[in-house]
Amino acid sequence: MADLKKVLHVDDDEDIRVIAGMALEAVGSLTVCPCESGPDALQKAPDFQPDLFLLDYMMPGMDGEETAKQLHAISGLESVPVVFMTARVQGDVTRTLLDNGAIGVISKPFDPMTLADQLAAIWEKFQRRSPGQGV
Amino acid sequence: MSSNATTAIDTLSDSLSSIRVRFMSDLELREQELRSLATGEICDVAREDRHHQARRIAHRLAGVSGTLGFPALGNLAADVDDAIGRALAVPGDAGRTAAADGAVARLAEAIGSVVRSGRDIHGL
Repeated sequence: MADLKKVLHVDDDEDIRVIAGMALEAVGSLTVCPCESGPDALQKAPDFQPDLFLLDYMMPGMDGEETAKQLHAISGLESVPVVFMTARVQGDVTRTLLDNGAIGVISKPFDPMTLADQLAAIWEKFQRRSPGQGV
Repeated sequence: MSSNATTAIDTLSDSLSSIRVRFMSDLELREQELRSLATGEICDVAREDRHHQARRIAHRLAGVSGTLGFPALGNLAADVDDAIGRALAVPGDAGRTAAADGAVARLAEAIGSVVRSGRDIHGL
């Protein structure tokens, strides 16, 4: 099973970026590339070569789904799996996101103490289903 | 739990505390902004602009409040985000506009309560 090591995280809210970054790095021992928008992610992703995209669903300008689509159009990143983060009011889109290929959806607000465990559980389930994929 | 894991959680807790302090400080400004955005005007364009501004504040609060230990405030902010969204979907609808304005005023009141008490809201 491939290990999850590098996460590219996109959220327009600075506090969420900082909290999620700290949670994933301190508790999950992951390397996180924080991005403030879809275009920012498109710039940083090729050099960072993430194992996973963690994307806010609702962002001004380029939203999470469009960001995922454009990230997957980058050579070498086509098969990087996507996990979305959604607020309570967007709960009805969870099923659609999973049906469209996301490997997981994490609800906001999230618990910083367990975020890394949540992501690890999603990754392990994905790896069991598709060994060797997404790396 | 290993000592490394304990240290990581302690470090995260400390960092969250400092972010929470900044969040509380920012809340005072958000309360003032929302109070000024809760009052109506005649012009539809100005009303929509006011709702867009209030919605940005509500959406951000909905996303971050619960994570910082204020889940009820976050839920209320999400309700306000939703109410404003319904008003913006049907411009000029007096009922939806009034509901959105009322929701914005309630959120400002709730934020004031959190600022004064330092605790999450209950029963607002």
